[in-house]
Amino acid sequence: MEKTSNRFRGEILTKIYKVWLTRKFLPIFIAEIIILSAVIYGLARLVFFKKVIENAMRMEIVNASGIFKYLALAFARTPMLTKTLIVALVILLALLVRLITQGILRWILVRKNYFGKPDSR
Amino acid sequence: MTTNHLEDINPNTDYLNMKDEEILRASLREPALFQVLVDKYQHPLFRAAHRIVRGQEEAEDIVQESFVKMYRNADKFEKLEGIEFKSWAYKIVVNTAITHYRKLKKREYLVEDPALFDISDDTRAEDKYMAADAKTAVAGVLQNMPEHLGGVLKKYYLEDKSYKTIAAEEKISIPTLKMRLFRAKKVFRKIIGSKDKFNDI
Repeated sequence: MEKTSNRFRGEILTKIYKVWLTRKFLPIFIAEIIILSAVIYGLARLVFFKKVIENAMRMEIVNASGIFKYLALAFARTPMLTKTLIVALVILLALLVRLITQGILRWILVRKNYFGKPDSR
Repeated sequence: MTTNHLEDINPNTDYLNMKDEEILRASLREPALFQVLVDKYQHPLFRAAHRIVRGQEEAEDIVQESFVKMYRNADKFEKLEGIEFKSWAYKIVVNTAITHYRKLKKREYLVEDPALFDISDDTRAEDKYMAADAKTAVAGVLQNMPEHLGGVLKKYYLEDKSYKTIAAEEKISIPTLKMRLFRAKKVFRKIIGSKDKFNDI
């Protein structure tokens, strides 16, 4: 009986999670992906990334701190528009990671019966 | 417990003390919280569905579908005033069960052996009567009820009208309507109990 009840509850909650996913998660996720794509497209038109990497190699950077110094210098010398786009890219990536993590965590909470009756966990 | 619900919830205690309406609202952001409502109402709602469809799997499907409907329409529920989650949930289950029952009867009627329709008019009439949907059976019970009670029950459960609309139509206040509905349900159950109408459905 308990097994049936757990299976039954599990099926309901999986459906609830799917509703949440399509109504609350996916619209934001799609919007973030679209904005992120637009930012990457804009950035790709302004910055020639291959050249940045080639320059980095030409400077014979051998350690991580050297790479960071080079990137920081390149960022400081880049035009304002490019800087803004790079900052936007980083923020959007962080938001996307946060959203995906929330989606996964909520799925785990649903599967683990986190808010269910303490005796049925 | 207002908007920032998740941060306020202590996983061991607080959500257990929340009202059903608050849990429903909070579950829109945190779907796992809906477990509290499922745990609390799955058995009573299953019994309500089972009373109508008389089948374990059918009743389970109805309860599942009803819970999903509740979650999907949680926004609408917030706009309804003076209605408890429990009665709203029960109404959804009953409506879903009746819809299922009607579909089931229709399907049974369609897949029946065509030879059955070659029999006498009397038998055909009996078959048609047996295939009559739940709504007709319920309507039959409603006819046996006092007009003012049957009327509100029909408007609320079969025509799916809101308290506000029915109260305006009947020219009574909402509390009076609720009381009338309560009495109507009592009389309805009494009639079903005495005549065992559901066996004919």
